[in-house]
Amino acid sequence: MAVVVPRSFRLLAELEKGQKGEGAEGCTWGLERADDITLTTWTCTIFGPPGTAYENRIYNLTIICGEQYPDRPPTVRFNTQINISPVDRHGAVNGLSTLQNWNRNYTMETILENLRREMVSPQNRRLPQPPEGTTY
Amino acid sequence: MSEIEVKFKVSRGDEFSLTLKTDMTIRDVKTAAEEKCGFPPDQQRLIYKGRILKDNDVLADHKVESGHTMHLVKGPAPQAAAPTDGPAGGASTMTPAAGTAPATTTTPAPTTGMGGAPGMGMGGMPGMGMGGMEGGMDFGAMMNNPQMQQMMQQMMQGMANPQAGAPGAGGGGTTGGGQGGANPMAGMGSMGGMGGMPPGGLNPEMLQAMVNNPMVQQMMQQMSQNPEMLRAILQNNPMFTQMTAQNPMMQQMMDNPQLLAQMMNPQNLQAIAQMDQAMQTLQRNIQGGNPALGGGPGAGAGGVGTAAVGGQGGGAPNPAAGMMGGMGGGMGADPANMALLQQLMGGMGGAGMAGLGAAADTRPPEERFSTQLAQLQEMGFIDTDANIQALQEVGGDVNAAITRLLERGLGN
Repeated sequence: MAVVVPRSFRLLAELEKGQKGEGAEGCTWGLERADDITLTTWTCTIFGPPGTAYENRIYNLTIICGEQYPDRPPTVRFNTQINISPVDRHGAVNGLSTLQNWNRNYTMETILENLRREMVSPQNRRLPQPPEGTTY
Repeated sequence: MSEIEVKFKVSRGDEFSLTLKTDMTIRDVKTAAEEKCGFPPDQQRLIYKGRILKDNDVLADHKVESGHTMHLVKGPAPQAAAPTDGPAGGASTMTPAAGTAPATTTTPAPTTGMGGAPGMGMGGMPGMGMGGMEGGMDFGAMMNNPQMQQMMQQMMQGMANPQAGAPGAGGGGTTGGGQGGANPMAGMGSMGGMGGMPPGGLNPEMLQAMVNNPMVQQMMQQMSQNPEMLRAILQNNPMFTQMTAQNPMMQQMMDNPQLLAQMMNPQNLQAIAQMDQAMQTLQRNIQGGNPALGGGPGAGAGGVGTAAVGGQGGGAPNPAAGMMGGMGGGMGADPANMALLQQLMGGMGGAGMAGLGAAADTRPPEERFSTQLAQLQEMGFIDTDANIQALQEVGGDVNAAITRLLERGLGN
């Protein structure tokens, strides 16, 4: 029997996974404000993968899970400046296939993991990067 | 402060654990981690829940708990402070009391907040003022209600009398009476004082006397008819704010007027004293470290969530009981929350109602489990008969019912 997990249950599960740090390698996430009872605004990090232009950098992102999440994808934005194909010059992630072909089983972890995968892709791994620590 | 076991994941796949104290700074943690990971503290960057932790932060600020994992990344050369975005959310609302709950004293000292002079009572409720109240509250009208004023005055006097140390309290209440603002606030203040009471200090006789006081009863009733007011009080209690922060489901609970009314029921309040004592005994016996009280923290949160919804059964004789049971189970899951729960019990009352769940209920199962049924339906379990059967088997626990239903579904 297919069970449709409601938004709050889904996000609470994601919150817990984030606290326990069980997520994909190089990715962490948590609530932007611990008292955000709507579980809407999340702060996330991606560690740049070794052997790429992103190595040794920690990227900070904000993910906003709207009312329709997970039926609709969240909005994802980099706060740390980055030069990478799915991200526009204002930091908005709009070219990621995970978001374009969203599926309600995807999680924030899926997004972060796939962004990190983009960092090691041949087209992105050698891109020149803005100075470390600069933000949008 | 308490000891926690935290796991560290190092960027190249290594892992190690450290036993830390929640009052350690991040700098302390890095120093402790140096031996395990081999990076000097200056080159370590610790990431937890999407944030880079700053050296001066304390573990408790980030609500790090046992079993959680931090990521440790080797940074470049030692530099100025690592770039960090955003303040640690919610940290500023922490009260030191949260970590040091089990004050086992039963001296009457804590009750001064209750009977004390108006000013004291207000002090017990940090940040609360007229401005702190949500708009739309019928506060002014209440203030100007002569009955209410009289009630407050009498209550203040009644409370102050047994207090040798606060002879002026009654007078204070009386003089404030004409001004519509000061006197009622005093009454509110005494509620706040109650909220601030350390859990161990809940004196059964005192509570009994208070609950039996018709003035208090009347006030309770007024309060229960005005859920906004109760909510404003609770929201101004830092302990409660923290609890809500840790558990978003608490908010839903507070949004349920029926439940709030139930909480203010004097009979239920009476049960608190017993419950509180039981909790103390329990905590002594458990010695803080035993996680066997409930599921894991996650299971706890789930329990609160579903139980809270389940508790909304309209005219049920004791709609709150199931929910409070859920809360007891969920919150009991780890020692830190246990302390919080205890404080909540002491502060808010009502929470002790878990013990009341035993009341026999003779209504048909469709009615008795109506909310749970609705909930199951929403989740996609559409076979009402199967739902009822499952709910009956597990005594109305939605989570357990789902487990049963799923097991059966798989068996077919």
